[in-house]
Amino acid sequence: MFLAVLIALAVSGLLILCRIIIGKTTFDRILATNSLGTIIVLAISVHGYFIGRPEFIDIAIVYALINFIGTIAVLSLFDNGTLGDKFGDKTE
Amino acid sequence: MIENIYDVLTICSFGIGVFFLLTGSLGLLKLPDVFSRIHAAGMIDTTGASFIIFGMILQSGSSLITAKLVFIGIFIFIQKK
Repeated sequence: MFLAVLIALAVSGLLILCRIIIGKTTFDRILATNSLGTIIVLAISVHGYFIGRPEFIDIAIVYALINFIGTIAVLSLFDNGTLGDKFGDKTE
Repeated sequence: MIENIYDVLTICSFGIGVFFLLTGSLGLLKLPDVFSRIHAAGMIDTTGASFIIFGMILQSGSSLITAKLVFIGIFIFIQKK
């Protein structure tokens, strides 16, 4: 049961990876990277159940938070040209 | 008997989640427009992730693992604004 879900997650991740490689615009790559992060979080959780140690969920929580912060950081960099610090700000 | 019911419900939930995951990733690869691909990615991040996390919650019973899975679901949901 968990092995079937893991195989489906792997196939889904490969399809999303093809979109990251093809990716015509930057938004496509950001969107597909975000989806790949979600797939990896689910794969870490299901893999913990598959080998009988669900404590791997802690790693999945940390990965979800890093994925969230990373997506916000890349979008902020794409929108403003800076990450919000005063050193890279070119407007002042 | 009651665990058997939980297993059946878990398999149904995993089946629905895997269907939406594969549909969303195929749409993310094959749809022609950026906004259509955003629609397909929303399919992955809401329905697919929710049903797979719900299946794992049914397997874990009532423990600390369930709370952690709920937190993962919230974190995946809030990053879709």
